This record gives sequence, C-alpha cells and structure tokens, in this order.
Amino acid sequence: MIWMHVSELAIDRMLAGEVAAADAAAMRDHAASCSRCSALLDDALEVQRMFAAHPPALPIVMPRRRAHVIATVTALAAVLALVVAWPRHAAAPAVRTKGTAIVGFFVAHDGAVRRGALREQVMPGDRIELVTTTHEPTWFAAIGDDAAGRRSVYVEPQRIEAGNERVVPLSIELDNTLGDEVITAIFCAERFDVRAPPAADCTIDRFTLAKVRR
Amino acid sequence: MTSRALAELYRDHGHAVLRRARRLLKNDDDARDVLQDVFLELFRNPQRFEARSSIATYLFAATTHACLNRIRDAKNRTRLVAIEHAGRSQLAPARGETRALATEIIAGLSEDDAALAVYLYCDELTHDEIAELFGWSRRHVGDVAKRLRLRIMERVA
Repeated sequence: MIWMHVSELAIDRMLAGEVAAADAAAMRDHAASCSRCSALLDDALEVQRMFAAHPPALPIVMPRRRAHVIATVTALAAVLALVVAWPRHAAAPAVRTKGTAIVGFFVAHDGAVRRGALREQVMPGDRIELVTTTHEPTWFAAIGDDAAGRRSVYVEPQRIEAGNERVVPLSIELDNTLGDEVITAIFCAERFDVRAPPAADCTIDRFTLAKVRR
Repeated sequence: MTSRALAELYRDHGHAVLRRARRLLKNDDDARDVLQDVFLELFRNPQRFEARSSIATYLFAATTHACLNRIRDAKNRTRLVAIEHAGRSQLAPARGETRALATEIIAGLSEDDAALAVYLYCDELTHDEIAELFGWSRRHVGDVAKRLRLRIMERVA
C-alpha cells in the first residue's frame, strides 16, 4: 500500500494494533520523510507516553492494578532485584536478536524526555520507560543485568496487547551502579517463568544502557 | 461492560481520545471533560461499540461527536475546531475565511454533517475512512459529501 499522508485516524488504528504490520511499516516509512506526518506521529507517541505515565482519573471505580505494574520503581534494583536461574549472556549484544516483537525505550533526564538509542548513555536517577511493538497479543517481561552482576526483574510477565510502541505502564529509576546495564525483553506466546530460561520459541530483544557518573 | 474492561480500554486507548479532543477543542480542560464523557458513555452504553469491529474507529467518531456537541454550546463556540485547516481547504473563499464564519457553519449543520465536515476538511480523511466511521458505503459518503459542500457553499454565499 502506498501512503500519501497519514491521517490521525490511521495513527490511532496503528497504535491500537489494528493495522497490518506491512501497512504500519509503510506509514512509518512515509512519516520518516514527511514532516507533517512525522509531527503527527511523534505527538501521538508523546501523548500515549504521557497518558500511560499520568492517566487522568476516570470517575468510575477502577480495579487496582498489581503493585509491580503501577509502581514507579524507585531504587528498583534494591526493591526488585531477584537472582534468576538462567545464565547471563557473557557479552550481551547491543542489537536486536530475532523475532517480530521488539522493545524500545524513552529516557527521562532532568525533566527532558528523549527516545533511547542502542547503547544509550544514561545517568543515575534517570528514568527509563519501555515501549513494546508486537503484531499479536503476547506475554512480556523485562529484566536488567547491571555492571555489578546483579539481575533485576523490572517487569514481571504480563500479557500485552498487539500494537506499535505501546507504553509499558511503569518507569525504571536507575540506581547508582555505573557501567553497562543490559535490558532484556522477553516475549512469549504463553505465560512463562522469568526466572527460568526462556523457551526456544520466545522472542528476545535487548538494548544496553551505558550508565555514567552524573 | 465491567469496570475492569473499561479500565483496560481507558488505559490502552484513552490517549487517543485525549489527543483528538485537545486538537479539536484547543483547550486542555475541555479535552479532559470529553475524555471522561466518551468513556462514561461507553460504560453506560457498551453496545454502541460492541456492534463495531474497531475500537480506534469507534473512539475517533465518538470523540469527534462529543467535541462538536461541546462546540455547539454557546459558551464554547468561539473555541472551534482546527479551523486553520479549513482555511486551506476548498471551503475557503478567495479572500480568506474567518474563524467565526467557520464556527457558524459548523454550528448550523446537523450532527452528522458537522462531523462529516470535520472529517473532510479538517482531518482530510479518505472516503474509505469516513465510510468506516459512519458505517456507510463509500458511494454514500461521496453523495453526502457533495450535498454537504453545496449546503456549505450556500451558507457562505
């Protein structure tokens, strides 16, 4: 499909996971070379991110979310650090490994928010917000391996809906451990144990944060 | 619809409603009111969505209608819809169109016609997209759009 301009409705449908992967890719390709559509898409992603972080209250009794999902994870390594059974990668790749599910992230640093890149330089106290892109509903978890050899479960396995750059409703506040921290996202069709080695048909995606002194 | 189901819809799609309402109303407080109105309406009358296949399409249409209803409120008439877009559209007379005129045009149309005008001239949606929003055939959209254009031109004249 050839996209002329991308409408606001088309963006809504893409973010809702209602657009075929090929069409979504075509829309993004078009937006990459069109300032009008790029601005619309960036705005949509920014509002989505802000909404996930600070949703306006809805005057209906809402079910409580599980604490680990909604918590802003201050000093997360201390609170949630869990040693898991499956081995670390000796040299974690800084590129995507396989599969159709990917994880991305934004960095909040001193009040400014930027999109994270591979091997993004970050500082203690920065907050990381994850976004996932999947073509179908799946189970998702995220763990971090820091330079001191500690492994933290940042996102316990949870079912996520299909969609492009869906914001994971939690933020990770980085602790004072300097050096590289590898964030690993695990996507599996079925519920899984994040403390066990992932099944062969799960999709793994990683990125590295290079944490430097403030 | 259970409150849990509504909560999930709100979490996953509320951002789209809020963004569209902000764009149409140019006012954050009003946009938040519309956000609540749209989801409360969905909670009270879930069958309105359940008959449709796309939640994004339903919410886009519901938000548009909610915003237009708000605009029709006399207090809010001056806050209208991204009229700067209409200024670039076929509706604009050669000497330029004022925001007030566009507001009056929108306010003078039926609910569906006003929504159609926004989709055509502000959002610049395709007839296929509009057909899905209304649940009409593409051909019907074309026919209604022609009539709408004539109606608007009569009002401009």
